[in-house]
Amino acid sequence: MRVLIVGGNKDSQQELALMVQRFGYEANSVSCGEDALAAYTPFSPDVVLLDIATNDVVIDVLVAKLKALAGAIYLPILFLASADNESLLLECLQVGGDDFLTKPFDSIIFQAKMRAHIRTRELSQSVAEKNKSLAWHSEHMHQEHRIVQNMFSNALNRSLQNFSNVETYLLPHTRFNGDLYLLARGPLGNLYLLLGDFTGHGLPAAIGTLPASQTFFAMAELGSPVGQIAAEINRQLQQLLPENMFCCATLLELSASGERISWWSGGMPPAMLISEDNEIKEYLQPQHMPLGILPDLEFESGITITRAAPGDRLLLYSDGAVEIGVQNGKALGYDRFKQMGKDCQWQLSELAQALDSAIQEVGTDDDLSMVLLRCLPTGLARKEKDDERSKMPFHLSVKLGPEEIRGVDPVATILRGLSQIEGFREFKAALYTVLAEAYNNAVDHGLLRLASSAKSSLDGFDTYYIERSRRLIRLQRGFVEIVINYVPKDACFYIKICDSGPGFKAGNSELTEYSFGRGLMLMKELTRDLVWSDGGRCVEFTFSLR
Amino acid sequence: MSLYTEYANDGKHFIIHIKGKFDFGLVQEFRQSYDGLSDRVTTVVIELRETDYIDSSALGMLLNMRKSLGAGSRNIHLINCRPEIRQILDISRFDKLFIID
Repeated sequence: MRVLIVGGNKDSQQELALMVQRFGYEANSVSCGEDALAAYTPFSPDVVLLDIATNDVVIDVLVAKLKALAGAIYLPILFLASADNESLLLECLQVGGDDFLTKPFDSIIFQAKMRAHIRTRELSQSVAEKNKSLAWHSEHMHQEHRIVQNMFSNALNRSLQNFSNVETYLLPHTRFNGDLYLLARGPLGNLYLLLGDFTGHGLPAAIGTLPASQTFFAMAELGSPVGQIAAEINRQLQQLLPENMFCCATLLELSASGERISWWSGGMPPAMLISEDNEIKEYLQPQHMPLGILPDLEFESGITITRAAPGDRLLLYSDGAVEIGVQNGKALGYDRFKQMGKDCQWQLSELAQALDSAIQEVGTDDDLSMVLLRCLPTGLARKEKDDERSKMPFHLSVKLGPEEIRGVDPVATILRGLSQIEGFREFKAALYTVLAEAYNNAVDHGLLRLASSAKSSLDGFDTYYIERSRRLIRLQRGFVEIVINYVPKDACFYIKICDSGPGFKAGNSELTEYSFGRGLMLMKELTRDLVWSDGGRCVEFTFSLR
Repeated sequence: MSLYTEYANDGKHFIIHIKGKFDFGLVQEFRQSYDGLSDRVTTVVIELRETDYIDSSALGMLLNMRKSLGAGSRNIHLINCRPEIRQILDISRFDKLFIID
């Protein structure tokens, strides 16, 4: 401990220095205020003893300067004066001194006072130290939060933005939102929506939104059914989250027509389907446990299908909307929430305002989210991309005997190959249909000699295919040949399918119709130049890519 | 697994998912899937989002289902058809007999 002695005469300085050294402290004496300020930094005193007889500076200015040098840390300044000058001493205390000692000094009192002030200084030092470290940690945490926040916003950025049929009101209680709102477009123009609420709020609650959102977006892009998306998110969260944490959620898919809502809901307050005249038509009551609780095998992925009329609205909300004020026993409750909704005809912005006023009044301690979905055609159907079509001509010829016909599906195999060629993918379903019609016709009627009239009755349909597999097993001879010619300059496939069967016989109504029935209608619509040759053993047609 | 079924939570919808090829390869499985359907079922939903290919035998199977469920007494919805599948249903005028969405 270092003690700076300021002022007084040489004798008293010496006496004081000796006493202080006896207490075990280091002493440094200066004669005037200016020297005291100069000595401050090199000596760095823990206590200042200031003789009020120091007359070169105004005492209160010196005290203020010394205190300023000490900064946030307590620097005890003790005044020294004669006992008969106590009124002056009190004045000194008023200008910022901390204590006083009267001459002649009583060694015991002197030491006790010094110790008391040094203890306070040490306390102050340790507080300053802790504050510094706290400030560092706080800054560090803020920096980390900024990074994490960035990650969250990147993850949730994939959500479909500015979609006119959806309005939202999202009010996180803290920087991180434990409520999760996601919107995505499916490949068929369907709209996927998730509103979730993780246990608690803040960062721990928000963590789970990362894997949940990534899974949601990936599966929506594939066009997976909502029950499967729910099952997958559940599986992930169940592995990831501690036991007391889970995610209440409603996951829905609005069909491209806007008329069908397929939904899965666990633990969320019931979403409300609201008619154009502002009546609540239906509640989407949650049917399941929240996500992240049940192990995969016990998880229930069952959905419900709700039909919506054009112009119906679906309001989804987290419990933060109805539990405003719950923390001080003044919960808003469903009835008032619904009344507020009716009062503003379920206009989301007005309902949000009403809830805001309620929050002003009674406060809240949870995240709040509302999503209003208009059940209208989504207009999100993707147009097929006009891929550059392959310019390479090719010729494909496949001849199949009984063994191959039994064992493989040549049409599917050919299509698997063709759909790899650029520009063909968008036609593969139609091409499959026409190839399958012609090929199955050749096998069924050419090789297996089945009569398609057998299919016309209800039981006949099954019997026909049972008979078909029976005959196929016994088939000994014959072949079906598929020939495909791709001519890029015509953008056409020229296709010929022949069989070794008996072909048409004039006057056989069964065969003149070529047994296609519905198949024939498809062939006529999807192809052109459809002709039969070689007495009905071959069928030829053109499949255009235009 | 190219065909699987589920009841919706309310028991009113029965959903048949068809994956990959929808053709006579499924003829028995498809028929059995709607045998002994609960009386509560008002709507049978054929979920076609994962159906890649369809041919006239599938159309026949759908018409048979409609007959066997008592034409018109239960709705049959063909949902999530890809455009190519939709084209084939449209050619066959299935929109007159089924609800296609």
